Amino acid sequence: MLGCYIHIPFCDKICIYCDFAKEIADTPKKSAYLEALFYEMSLIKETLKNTDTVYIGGGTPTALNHDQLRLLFNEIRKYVDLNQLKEFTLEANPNHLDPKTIQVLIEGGVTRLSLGVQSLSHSVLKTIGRQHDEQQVYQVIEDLRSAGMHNFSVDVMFGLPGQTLPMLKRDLKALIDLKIPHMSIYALILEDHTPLKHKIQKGLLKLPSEDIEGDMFDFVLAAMKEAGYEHYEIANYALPGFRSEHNPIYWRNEPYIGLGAGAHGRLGQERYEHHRSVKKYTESMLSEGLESLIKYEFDPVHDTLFMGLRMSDGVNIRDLEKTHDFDFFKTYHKLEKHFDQGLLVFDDPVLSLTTKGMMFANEVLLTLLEALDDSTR
Amino acid sequence: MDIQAIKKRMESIRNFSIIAHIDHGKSTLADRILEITNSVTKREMKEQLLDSMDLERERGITIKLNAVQILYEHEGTSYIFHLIDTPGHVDFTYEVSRSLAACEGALLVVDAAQGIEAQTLANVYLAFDNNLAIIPVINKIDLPSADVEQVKKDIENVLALDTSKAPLISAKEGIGIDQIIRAIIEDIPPPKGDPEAPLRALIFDSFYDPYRGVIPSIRIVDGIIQKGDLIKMMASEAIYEVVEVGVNTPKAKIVPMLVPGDVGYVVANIRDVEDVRVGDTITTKTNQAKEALPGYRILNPMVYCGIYPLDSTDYLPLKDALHKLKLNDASLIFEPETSGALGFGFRVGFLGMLHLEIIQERIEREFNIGLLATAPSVSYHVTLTDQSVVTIDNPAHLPDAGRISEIQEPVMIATIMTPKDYVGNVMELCQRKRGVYQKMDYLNDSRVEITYHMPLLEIVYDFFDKLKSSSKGYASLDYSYSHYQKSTLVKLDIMINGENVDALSTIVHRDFAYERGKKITEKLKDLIPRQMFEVPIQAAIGGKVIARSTLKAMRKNVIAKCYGGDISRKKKLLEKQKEGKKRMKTVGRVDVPQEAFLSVLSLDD
Repeated sequence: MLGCYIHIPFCDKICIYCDFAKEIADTPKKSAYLEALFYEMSLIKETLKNTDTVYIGGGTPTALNHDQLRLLFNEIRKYVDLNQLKEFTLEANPNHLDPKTIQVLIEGGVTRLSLGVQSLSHSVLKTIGRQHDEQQVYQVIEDLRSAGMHNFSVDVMFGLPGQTLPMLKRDLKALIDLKIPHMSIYALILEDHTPLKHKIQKGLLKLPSEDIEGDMFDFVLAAMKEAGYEHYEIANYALPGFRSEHNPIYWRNEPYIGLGAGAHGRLGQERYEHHRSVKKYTESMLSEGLESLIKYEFDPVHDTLFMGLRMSDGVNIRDLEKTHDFDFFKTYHKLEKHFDQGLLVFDDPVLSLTTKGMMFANEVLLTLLEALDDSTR
Repeated sequence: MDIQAIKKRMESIRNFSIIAHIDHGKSTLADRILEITNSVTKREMKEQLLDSMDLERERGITIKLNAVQILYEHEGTSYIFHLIDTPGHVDFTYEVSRSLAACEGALLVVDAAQGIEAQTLANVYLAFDNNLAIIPVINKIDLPSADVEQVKKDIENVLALDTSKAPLISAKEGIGIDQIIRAIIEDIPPPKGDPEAPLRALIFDSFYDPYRGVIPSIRIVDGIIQKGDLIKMMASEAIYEVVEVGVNTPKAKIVPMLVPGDVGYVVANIRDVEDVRVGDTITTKTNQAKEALPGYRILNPMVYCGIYPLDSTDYLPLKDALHKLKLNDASLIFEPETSGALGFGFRVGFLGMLHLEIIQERIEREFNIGLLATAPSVSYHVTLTDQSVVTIDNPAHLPDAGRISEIQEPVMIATIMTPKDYVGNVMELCQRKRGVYQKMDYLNDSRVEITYHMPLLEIVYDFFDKLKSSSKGYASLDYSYSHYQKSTLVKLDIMINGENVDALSTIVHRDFAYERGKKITEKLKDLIPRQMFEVPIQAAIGGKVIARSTLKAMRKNVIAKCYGGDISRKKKLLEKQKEGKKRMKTVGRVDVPQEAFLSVLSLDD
């Protein structure tokens, strides 16, 4: 499989926890950015031909106006045969998705939407800087379904400032009742250089305690299982038949194209990223083309294990041994304690985390990291 | 040089030190003197030239002594000054006294805004003991808060020194330096000594040169020393052949001989720092002096701690580092030690807390070895039930209470100077820290000197920090050894996950044990990261648990979201966790961070 990720680094308003490449921009700046993005697409048109999935993320892709969205879809169609695509996902904020916009997206070829819901609690949404409210979420879901779009995902976060366990329970119950086909449910990561971190350091906001966050995670696992969702990756849950096609490309360490400011890609034996600033990306792409990409290390064994263990399907160890210089036996005894702790199982040839293991994935990955360091020393 | 020439030369020599409290401007003044006498060109001038170790310059303190020869023309006569630098900290009292013994005079520098401090006083008394001519110098007169008259009055009241001619200076601004030069020439007597008597040279410092061995800094009292002499250290009885004598200008300069009054160095391929003890007297093997110079003492370390490499493969490099530091510092002693919790390391003895901090910092900085140091301990004299006496400097080694008939702990005489507004606070603190009141003197209307007998254990623990906070930073402290005294001390053990952690054992007074135990267990609970399982943390005396806290089990440890194909971010987070783990020691099955081992040091009372 070959994926293609396109980054739209624009937002109407900045959420306080986000440290992605994004900014608030006017129409001319967005147009200039699209020009650079289209130029980059033209430079790799041969590779784009083989794309299996497209994922447009952000930022907020729906921060583009309808004309700009149409331009973008037209450009994609130039290089990618939409009929051959397995999936075409676009991220959107609920407050942007009026029926007209939904129509533009469907006409442009989008087959799956990922909605940045995060929470349904008014106070929490307000604190973290989201612009929608609970009613808008229900409305959008209704509108999507009446427009014939049944494949969509919602993002839900826990461990947010001011969020309580009852709030999270109410959110999940409402979304489960709506039979949302796919949910990404993940704990907040407090990133450096974000307004949230600043506010917490100054004592203006407080995060739920480690214990409450633990209770939240426990609840999510139990509730989603009971509702019949497959927990197929650490933070991803799907009703049967609705797993994402694009995201597992990262987790299986398969190749993907990255396009746009801050986007990452992995092609051949190389990983690369783009300049994060819109200005720098736009200027350097137009003047230097693909020379402006920043290349970095690709470590197939390491990356296959580290990303693969995120999935309930785990990693096929014997395949990895066949294709790479890797001897599982050398790391096995180091991992033994995690088998004993019930975090990890090896059902030859598949190594995978248990449900408990997914809560403590870093413990396992750290041991694995040490073991790999030792075996290459 | 014939005898007459030597005697004439002696007339022109002035040997002096500068006595000052930390930050009162000693090093800056030394720099100005070097400048005005053209001893160094502007180009060579680095701020604070005498403090040559990086650490010294950063901390603004002088650790190792230096001596500089300065040639100066004054009203048609040539003079030779030897400026002998002294360390300005309480841990190094003995070194200070030896470098003062190499002088005939001292400049007493007092900050016009701060007044006299406890340490200044202690060092002036050392100068009195050595019969030095003392020239009071009032520094920082340019500061708006300077109160020259008050400081003068204090010096007269407290030290009975005449301040009518005291130079009023600003070393920083270069004001009044010429007055100091004049005072040095007129008020400090030239050295006495007999060039024809057997050699007697005082060792007041030494430093190590990797190619030429240990090089003592010496002051010649009687006789002559030159290349080829067979010399003998009178206390250590070591014998060496002199291969070079010289002076520092401040660069080393070879001279044909050193004569009475001279201050310089001697190179004799000395390999063992133990042979060159500060305070010892050098004489010649064939024409030995009858009596050594007075005042030689063997220094005993006062404070001990365990030092362990963070990475166990650094054990040998750590050993090497300690050996190298010892070449420059005979007062540093160490021996191998093993801890169940920390593995292989060393028990190291220090003169005091500053000495301890400096050595730790130098190992980490100059040798690039990550260290884990246990809480400092003092040395106890323990009488066992069979009446034998053992010395214990590691709390973990204290025998079972049942085998002990008596424990004695070292007690210091602590002198505290404080503005009178804080006398109540300071005395309350001293009482709380088991101090026994000795006396109180009013230095003037506003400053008080209070003397207590204070267990060294309490001083080492947190007394100095508490003293500062109970006096808004104004009180200063000086202490020296007084005696050993019987005390009701117990060993407080810490158990993590049921396992006794030897490196966390401390000895405390019985009255403090319960509270201390409670605080340590609470603090450890905050410092140790959560583990995969619940961990009990207990404090116990003789196997009886007196306090307990519970570290709850970790709830999750996962990077929840993996952003659009950005693998590097996840890798960085994991690498960071890995590095964090590396800096921990595994005790039982629990990862304990470095800070936890120091937690027993500072608990807010």
